[in-house]
Amino acid sequence: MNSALYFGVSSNNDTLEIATLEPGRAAVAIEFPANAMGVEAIKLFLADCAVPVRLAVAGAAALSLALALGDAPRREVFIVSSSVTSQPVALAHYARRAI
Amino acid sequence: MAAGAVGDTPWPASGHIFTIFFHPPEQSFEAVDADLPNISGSQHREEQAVKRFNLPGIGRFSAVTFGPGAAPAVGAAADGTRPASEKVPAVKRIAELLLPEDILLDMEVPGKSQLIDEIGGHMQRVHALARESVALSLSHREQIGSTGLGEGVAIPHARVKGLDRVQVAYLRLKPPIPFDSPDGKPVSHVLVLLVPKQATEQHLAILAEAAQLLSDRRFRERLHLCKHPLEVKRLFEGGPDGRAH
Repeated sequence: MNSALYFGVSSNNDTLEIATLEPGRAAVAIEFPANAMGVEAIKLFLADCAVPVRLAVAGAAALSLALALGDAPRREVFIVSSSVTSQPVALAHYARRAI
Repeated sequence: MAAGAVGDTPWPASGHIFTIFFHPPEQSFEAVDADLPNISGSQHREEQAVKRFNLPGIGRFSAVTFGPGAAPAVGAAADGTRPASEKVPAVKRIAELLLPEDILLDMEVPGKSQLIDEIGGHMQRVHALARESVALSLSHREQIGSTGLGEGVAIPHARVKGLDRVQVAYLRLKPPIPFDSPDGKPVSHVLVLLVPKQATEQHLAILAEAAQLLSDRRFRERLHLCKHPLEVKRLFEGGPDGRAH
């Protein structure tokens, strides 16, 4: 899956932080509101991706997020315990390296 | 940061960036560096690494990034620990990108396809973009899935080949139109987003800011009350509370 895009999503009570790993670019976390519109906005973005997408999600709403964001073709989602990491950039790295 | 070694492989010298990925279930780790082949080791070596860099409890984390002149940071933090070759692009806010001439209030359109045609026409008149190309790009995106977000908000958007900057427009519809939104509500707030092919982060940042602002009921109510495009622009500058956000 060399041409995939990798995302890390960390959820807490107020925000959903998402980080993207792209070749040659720094990963930066961007905050979405932790509400229905925030999730829909992330889904909009993921739907635009023309390549396979791999996500690692962690945090308060990890399970529901995984179900909401993973329900699409060519998409893999990993749920990561917050005790492993809850930082979105680290989660994106996790998504890239998970087998 | 002093140089060290894992087995026969030297630790990167001071000034290098490298990342260690820990795999607690397997009690192993990998160290990845641009200048070195990937190396791996056992729990014993992980303990050596933890001891070397004085990171208590590090085995519970999946990744640690070390950077030049910075304390080791857990979880590849986005501060000073990324390679110097990677540039963080400047991300503009909606208010910076939204021009008064791209704010259209109380537009009357019967449906989504007519709205997309109107957006194409507007982009041609104001920004000399090809009407058909814009409309086609937006239409293709809607075929993938509705860009309605719920609560009367939609963000029709598309990546447009040859575009040299992000184009944003805000349209307030009167009356609202059906948009196949997740909550089934008709749409009256339309934020149009045209982005260059390579603008992933800016695209994501605008979606995040739009969701932050437009998910606030008070912000939507204030948008409804705006009588002039400049009021809308000021509202986007100030955020839901009227303060810069």
